[in-house]
Amino acid sequence: MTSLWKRLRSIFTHPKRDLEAVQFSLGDRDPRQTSAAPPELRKPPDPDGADKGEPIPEDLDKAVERLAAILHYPLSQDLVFREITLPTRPTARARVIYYEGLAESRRVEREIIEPLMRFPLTNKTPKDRLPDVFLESILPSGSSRRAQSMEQLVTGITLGEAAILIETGVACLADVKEPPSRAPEPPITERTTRGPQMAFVESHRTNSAMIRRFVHDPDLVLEGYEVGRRQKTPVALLYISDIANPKLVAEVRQRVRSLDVDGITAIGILEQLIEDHPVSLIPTMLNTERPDRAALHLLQGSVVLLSDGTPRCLIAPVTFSTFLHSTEDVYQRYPYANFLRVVRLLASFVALLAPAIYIATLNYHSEMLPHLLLLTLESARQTIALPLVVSVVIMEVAFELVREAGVRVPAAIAPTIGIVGALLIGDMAVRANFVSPATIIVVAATGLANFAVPDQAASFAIRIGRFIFIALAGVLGFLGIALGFYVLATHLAGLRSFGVPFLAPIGPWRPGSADVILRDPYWRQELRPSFLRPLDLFRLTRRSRAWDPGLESAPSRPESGGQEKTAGDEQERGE
Amino acid sequence: MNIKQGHIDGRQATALLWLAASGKVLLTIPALIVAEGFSASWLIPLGSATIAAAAILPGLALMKRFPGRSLAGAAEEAVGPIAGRAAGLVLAGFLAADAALVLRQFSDAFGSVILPRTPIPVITLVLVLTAVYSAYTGLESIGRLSMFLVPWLLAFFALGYTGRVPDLSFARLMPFWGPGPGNLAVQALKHTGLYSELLTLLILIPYLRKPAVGRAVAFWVIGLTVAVMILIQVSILVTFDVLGTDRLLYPVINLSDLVTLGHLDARVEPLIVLLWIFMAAIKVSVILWTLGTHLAETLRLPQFKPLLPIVAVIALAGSRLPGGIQQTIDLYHVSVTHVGGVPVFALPGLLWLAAVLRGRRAA
Repeated sequence: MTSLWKRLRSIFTHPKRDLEAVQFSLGDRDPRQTSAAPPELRKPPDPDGADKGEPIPEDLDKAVERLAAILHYPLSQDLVFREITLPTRPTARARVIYYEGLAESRRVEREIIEPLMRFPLTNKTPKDRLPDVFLESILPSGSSRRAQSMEQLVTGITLGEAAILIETGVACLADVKEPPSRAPEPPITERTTRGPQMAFVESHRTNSAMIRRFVHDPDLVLEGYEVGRRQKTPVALLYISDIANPKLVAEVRQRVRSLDVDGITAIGILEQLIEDHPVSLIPTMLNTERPDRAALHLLQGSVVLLSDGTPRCLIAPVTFSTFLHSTEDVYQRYPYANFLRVVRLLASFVALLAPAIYIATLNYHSEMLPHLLLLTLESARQTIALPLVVSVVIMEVAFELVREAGVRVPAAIAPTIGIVGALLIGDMAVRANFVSPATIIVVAATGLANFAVPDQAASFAIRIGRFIFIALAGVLGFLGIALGFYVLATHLAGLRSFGVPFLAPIGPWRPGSADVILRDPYWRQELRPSFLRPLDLFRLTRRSRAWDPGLESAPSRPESGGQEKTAGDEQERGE
Repeated sequence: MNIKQGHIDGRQATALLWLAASGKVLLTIPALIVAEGFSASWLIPLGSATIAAAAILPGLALMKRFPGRSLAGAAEEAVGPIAGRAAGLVLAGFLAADAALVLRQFSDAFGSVILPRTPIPVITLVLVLTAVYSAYTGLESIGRLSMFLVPWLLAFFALGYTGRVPDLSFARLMPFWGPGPGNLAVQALKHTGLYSELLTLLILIPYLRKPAVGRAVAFWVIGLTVAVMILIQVSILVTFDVLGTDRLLYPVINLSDLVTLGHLDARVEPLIVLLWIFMAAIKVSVILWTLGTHLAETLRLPQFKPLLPIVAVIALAGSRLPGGIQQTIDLYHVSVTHVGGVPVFALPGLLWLAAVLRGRRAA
């Protein structure tokens, strides 16, 4: 009884902790959050990546023995221990250790073993200079580095580097990796007609290079991290240092570095680990396979995350309108792009609400329909034994089954699934008096509209939300739809993506951005999104069309040397 | 420039309070005002607005005198802990009555217009659950949502008023002074409770990013609300006349029945009701948030969220107390519209006066 009373009391007397109050905001950093972060996370990353782990034994045999124990040699058959003798006076023993397949054997031979065998190293070289001599004069690879702990050696080897141990106490890592990779191919889920036909691949280095092809900016920074206690998956954080808000970069960096997991095998796992609202239906990070889209967001002031092994990247922060945009919009002329956006917005509403509105209209508000249409629909329903809600749910579930089966089955028989699905949905269900033809039309239109939603995660949210709205419409008609929509809107209004309100720049109103639901012509998009609080607010000036005499008097960016306008100034006036 | 978490700016506060205050026009208020002001009933909200604009100033002065303090805290500072807490509980009682009666009226309105076969308690329950969720997400979410909804609601009003309404006659606005200027002035004084949302403003002033904008927010809310009310009153009068309105329970909903857009006849009415539902949901959410927050501050509880289910149950139970809709309307008219001016304006004014006389101000 006492404990129950204490628990009840604790609900009301818990120290004030408003959920909103502990959320990160770009504008304000909660001091409690900062103090709660481990001290090492507040330090800038060590450029050498050096840590104070287990020291490497100076004795070669002991070092090799320790490495073999850690890497489970000889149980691990793909681990190679190459023993070589250096032609020094007197000769010295050395070991090259790497995983076969992860490191390229030919590169190991050509770039490590051959130079080591040929270089006449004498004992006159001071011992503490040996690593530098090796790195500067012997190993040709630009990515060679000195290893300072066993952890570094092990991580390097598991990532495909070759470890070089010499009995003089030298330990180096040479980047000779050749992980399984493929050439960039056209995007699969985000195809465009006008944009570049190139999608990310599994190698995060290739992916970062692809982004650099679109952003030729020396201020594009790539920070590298390893995520996971066991797996040490390389993760790259990209941003443009003089555009992205430092608080945003620090927040993303902190979230990535503070992860304490075994490892991540794909960027989807990283997304779930660092996103603001992991249980919400609504995604708060953008997952894209297009390097040009990542580049466009970098230029707006967002940050990009790449993970080795995943042909996609993550972009943060995002807002509601991001999920209605497609890369195609940027490359199309302004009126065409806006037309496409209106179509997609309409498609999103249809995909979410069409079956619910169909049910609510026929079951509760039939006065909305013209009499002739109402008569046609009702007469078609006369022979249907099932209630309207049930028949719609059955058809929606059938559609989901066909879609899921189409994704899973081998490509060779995928068309068969389509034919079976079409027969099942389109013909047999009607003939069996399971559903009326109008229901088929509504479900088919809904499915088609769902494919027009440009983002896969948003599409999932809409698919799940549709069933909720069907249930609400079945029970309460338009009242249910309206209240469901209100709850959805409240939920959206309460979401944040890395400190940015999800409904920005509409709710809260943040002036300046000319690319929200619709977009202005490119030359009129002077400002970057102010809700991202970029360091450099101006994207271009109206003088970008300097040849156009009609725009001469237009306001433009301050001359260089003058006071630069920042998102903060804009925000201050906005509030 | 910093965004304070859990706070809203002046525009969001204005949008939120305006939508909450304008939500009343969906209820029986317009019909009741016509019954008291006849052809000049549109002057009553105007007169009440003028009085409310002046009457809110002492309340705002009280909050300015104790910056950073809640209304409950300011009351305790002004008149001491016991009297201050008693004043806080009086205000909480008023808010609870407002919540219960508004909830019942909205449920009844939706039940009679769009879901005639659904039991009213079911609608009340769904509405209160929605409002609890909304209030639970916090003031920031409701504020952003209000900003998001304002353009859509304006579009709805524009749609309604560009439509074709048969049998309009502006002669029905005559005689201009209706029951006479003196009578109108008394009615205006009696109807200051139309702006009861200003009590919410006093409670949410500590949650404004810049509390100094409180006065501007108050005037904007009064101005925008009175504009909507005058528009509605005039529309009802020129459409139904005084005698016709007397027979209507929800004249705005009846008005929307008559609006025809081209050849669509009256088929858009349920869609318009969707937007009304949003206004109702915001209104109830705001009341529950206000009641929960104020009660938590009065009882010195650090959080208001655990109180939300409790205040929801109070509102739900209270909404079932009146025997029928007519009794609900009478109670609302007396306790909120007529007497509402006392807790909303007079009580904060008295607290301010006590603070001035006793020389109390923030340390």
